[in-house]
Amino acid sequence: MDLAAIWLTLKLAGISTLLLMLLATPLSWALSRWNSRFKAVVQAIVALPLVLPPTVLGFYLLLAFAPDSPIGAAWLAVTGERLAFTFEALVLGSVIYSFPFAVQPLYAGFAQLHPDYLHTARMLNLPWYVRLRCVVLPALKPSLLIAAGLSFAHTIGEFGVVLMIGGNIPGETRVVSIALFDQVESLNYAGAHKLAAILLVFSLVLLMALYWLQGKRRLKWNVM
Amino acid sequence: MLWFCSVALAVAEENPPLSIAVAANFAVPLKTLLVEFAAQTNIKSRVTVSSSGALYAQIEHGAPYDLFLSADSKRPQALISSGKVSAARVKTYAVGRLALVGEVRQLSDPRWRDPALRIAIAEPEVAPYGRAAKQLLQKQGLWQTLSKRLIRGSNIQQTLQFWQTGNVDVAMIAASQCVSYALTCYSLPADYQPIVQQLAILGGGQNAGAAAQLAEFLQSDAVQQQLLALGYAPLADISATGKH
Repeated sequence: MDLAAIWLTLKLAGISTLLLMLLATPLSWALSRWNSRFKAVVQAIVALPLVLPPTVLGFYLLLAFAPDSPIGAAWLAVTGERLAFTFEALVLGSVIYSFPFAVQPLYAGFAQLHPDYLHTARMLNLPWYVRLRCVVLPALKPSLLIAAGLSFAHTIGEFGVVLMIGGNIPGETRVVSIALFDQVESLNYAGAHKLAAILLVFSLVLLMALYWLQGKRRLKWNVM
Repeated sequence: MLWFCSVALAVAEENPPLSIAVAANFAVPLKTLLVEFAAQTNIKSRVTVSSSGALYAQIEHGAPYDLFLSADSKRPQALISSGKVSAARVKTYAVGRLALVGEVRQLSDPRWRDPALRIAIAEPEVAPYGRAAKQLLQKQGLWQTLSKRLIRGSNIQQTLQFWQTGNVDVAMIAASQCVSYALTCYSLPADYQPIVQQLAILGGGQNAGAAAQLAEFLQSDAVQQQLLALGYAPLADISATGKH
């Protein structure tokens, strides 16, 4: 059993989900209140990882992480280390890859949040943090949970991007999907079936919890 | 209408092209050799390139390839064990060699122990060239220090890609890639089990004869002579040491 890979996958999914929520929440809010003919452009860019083949995305990330590219060079200057084939590179790749899965449920949630609630709260002279805590967050709770759940699940199943930028280093970048691929490639099908079963059951439970939540809240939610 | 039908029939009766599944390291040499083969025999072919492991899994589950050119002997031998092919239809067609590309030119260089040096090999558990790289590093007493930070490509092609995109300083690749992509490479001591690349003639269909013909062509002295220039070792190297 590849415990190191399982732990690494959970760590990657957890950190990526946290970052995604921090980035996607303000962006989704702004997007839902923004009216411009350029809105479609931004929405399309956010949705791009849905349609780009992951290995293609991964290949261009690999080029971007090289020390002679601006991103790779900036990372090298700040941290003194190269970006590709590190855990940090996987986090960055996962955030980009799972971004639409975080934004879309949140966008739907914010779009449904009626401005009257916020107006009323403002007229009651409630400070911003009380408005956030007592009005916005309770209304958004199901969307936040679904966005976080989907981001987490999607990162767990990530393969193509990690394959390209990870470098398969045990304990650093060898996540479950890569370990599983290695087992298959080395004809160790018994080990592969075991890992696949874990991945399958875990994902199934997570998705069931999400759909159960969705049904309970009658929230309109489109994955795609 | 009748004329159209008879044309369609004539097209359908013609043999489908020879379908070849080839491991990444041999893809470019094969392309060159197939031009010659087609000129000699008038047999057309269609090539699928992937990792040996992926191709093996496809063949085990009925993929309709006529010929499988593996990067190792393990997968063709596994096809014999599972009864997919008879032992007589598995043959050695090439012996691979490792080479070094990048900043460091030889294994004795002290920079191998420098933690800042980024080194890529193919994944030893999966890729035959990766297994050879591991054995060589073990022989040199470098494996212990390096194993934790080696960057592993899922196949030899990806290992080269890591170097080509500027993300590693040095990579241990197949000598055939050095020729295929006109790279400046450095040779490595052959301190590893020979990388025996075997083929398997699959399928009993119309193309079985053509597949056997291509297998024979690859094993011919003329082609073997060309393979030396394309980065492979002579077949005689392993027949002297027995079966692998």
